[in-house]
Order: sequence, then C-alpha cells, then structure tokens
Amino acid sequence: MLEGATYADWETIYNDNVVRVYRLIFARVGNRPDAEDLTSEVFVKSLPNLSLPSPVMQVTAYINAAIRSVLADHWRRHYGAPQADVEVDTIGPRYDLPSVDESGRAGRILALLPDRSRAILELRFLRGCSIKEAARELGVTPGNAKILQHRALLLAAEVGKRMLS
Amino acid sequence: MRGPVDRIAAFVEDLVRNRRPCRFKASPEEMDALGAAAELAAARPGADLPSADFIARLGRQLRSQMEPPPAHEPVTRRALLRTAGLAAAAGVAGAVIDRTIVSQPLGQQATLTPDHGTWRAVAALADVSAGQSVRFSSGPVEGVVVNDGRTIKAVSAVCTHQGCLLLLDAAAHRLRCPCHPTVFSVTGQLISYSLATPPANLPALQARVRDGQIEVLVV
Repeated sequence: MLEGATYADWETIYNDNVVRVYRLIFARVGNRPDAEDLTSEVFVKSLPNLSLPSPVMQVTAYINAAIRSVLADHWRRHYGAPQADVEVDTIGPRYDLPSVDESGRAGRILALLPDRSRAILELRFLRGCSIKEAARELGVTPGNAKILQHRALLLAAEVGKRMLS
Repeated sequence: MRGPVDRIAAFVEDLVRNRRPCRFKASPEEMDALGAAAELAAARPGADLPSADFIARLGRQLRSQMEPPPAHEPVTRRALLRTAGLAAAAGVAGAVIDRTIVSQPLGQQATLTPDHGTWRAVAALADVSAGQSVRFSSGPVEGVVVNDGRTIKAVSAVCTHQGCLLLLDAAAHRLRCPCHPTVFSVTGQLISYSLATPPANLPALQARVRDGQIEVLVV
C-alpha cells in the first residue's frame, strides 16, 4: 500500500487486514477459538467508527489500537491481568513473515534456551506431543516433564523480554 | 487445588490441542508463562492462519452490520464471489474445519460439455503428479484437475449451492465452500453440508492430455 493511499470502503479494509489482525492476535492467545472471537471483536468494534475515506496509516493505527484494547480486555477478564503488555505497533511488521521462518522470534527464543528447555518446548509446541510423549522422549516422568515445561516457559518469557529491550 | 505448574500445564495442553484454554487468575509470573506459551503455539507451521470459513463468516457478519440488505433482496452473486475471492486470497484453504457433517448417498454427477467448446491448457501434467490436484481458472471456467494415478479428471470448482468459488484443500483432497460449510471431494462428490437440502455434486469437465499439458474443454 502506497504512502498517502486511502481506504474508501470497509471491505477493502477487511480484505487487507483480516489475516494480519488474526495472526497478531493468535500470537498473543495461541488458540483458534479465542483468536476468532477477538478478531471478530476488533472489526465489529472498529469498522463502524471509521469515517471513510481515511488514510491507510490512520486506519491501520486505529485497528492496532482496537487490537491492543481487545487483547488487554481479554487478559484482564480471563486471567486477572492488571494491564496486558501488548505492543502492537512495534511488533506488527513481523506478522507479514511466515510463522515457520526459522529466523522468526519464536525460533530465536528457542535457540537461546538450554538444551532441555528447548527440547520440551519443541516437543510440545512444534511437534504437538502430549506431556506423556514428551516425557518419554526426554526420559523423565510426566510430573517432571510438567516442571521442566513450566521452567522452560518462564525462561522463554525472560529471553523474549530481553529481545524486546 | 492446582498449583502454578499444573495450571500452566493445563493451559499449554489446551493450546496444543487448539482448544479455548482454561481461565484462572494468574500471577505476574504465570502471565509471563502464558504469553510465552501463546507465542510458541503460533510458531507451529500454519497454526496462526485463519480458516477460509472464518474469514468468509466474519465477512458476512460485517456485511450485514455495515450494509443492512433491503427487504426481499437476495445476496448477490457478486458479493458471494467477493467473499470467496477474499478467502482465496488469504491462502488458507487448508485450515478449514468441517462442522455440521451430514452424510448422504453419493448422487449422480453431470458432465459439462459446451456445444462449441475449445480445448484449453490449464496445467502442465508434470505439475500434477499422481494423487495430486491443482486448482485452475481459465476464462469463465473455474475448476480442479486431479491425477488419480491412472487418469486425469477435471471438475468445476463453483459451488452448486449459490455459485461461490470453491477453495482447494489439496492436502485433504477436498474442495471447500467459503460461503457455507459445504465440502466436496476433489472429484466432485458432496462430502458434507449444513444446508436444508443437499447441493448437487460438482459437474465434471472434459479433460485430456496433449503434449504434456492438461487441457479442459471450455466455452
């Protein structure tokens, strides 16, 4: 989309943004039912409030603000978060990349983890193993696999924060 | 009462199964773990792509919100095709989930034979190996060519319900309608639908191979 371009109708806005919005939300909630509900909420809330024609950048900023608001509300309502940390503007562009890209953020986070932590997260998230299967693969009990997974996620969160700072 | 390890484990289990996860009041440390888990879940190949069904469904919902239709005016074919095009453009045909499954005996399949048709190349034979199917668009004809290992077949890729363009889910050997959750096999047989009456099977198109090209008889 060229700088200075405008959106003249809601369908083009939806067309241009639905995949980006969904992927961005999915990266924050990690499951389809929530991602679909929240994506719907973003468009249902934002489209009627846009006066068209509007500059593309302005519409994008408005939609990003709606994403931020909807996600913050989701984490507050369901998990008691005081304020969700969702920086849509700064991370938006990476959603244009394929999620399987090894150079992607998740791949870089995993690469920086200790071997056992990386292994449990890859088994669970990338290979879709159950906790029992992952435990068997790693030669530990399912109970220990849960603890390993827990610690690995906390480490991954820490590494992710360091990468943003 | 479950502790943090079990709560996070249950949350992860739901994400891995692509279910709506359990809700609970999370500590700041747990919030970090949940965020990391969501991001990793999105890194699984293809996991974060919206389904064509969802894109079409939300598009319809928004249309009714933004453009309330005048009384008695049916949804136009153009609008339906626009929605189909949008879903196709997203490239997400593989992610659709069948919902209401209604079995029906396999019906008859018509063959579209234009009176004054011409053979038009729609795909290279080398690009459609045994067991594969390829979507094509040739002028007014939207279709799919299928190599079943013995013969090359072609079927229309226009839904027999309301004319929406079907999306090819090549991995599952299915054609899916973005307008309603209707599914056909790549050879045109109706597999599932959630309409009051079953739509007809997709008509077959005449196909042949010439000089390494798959040709279809079109108007």
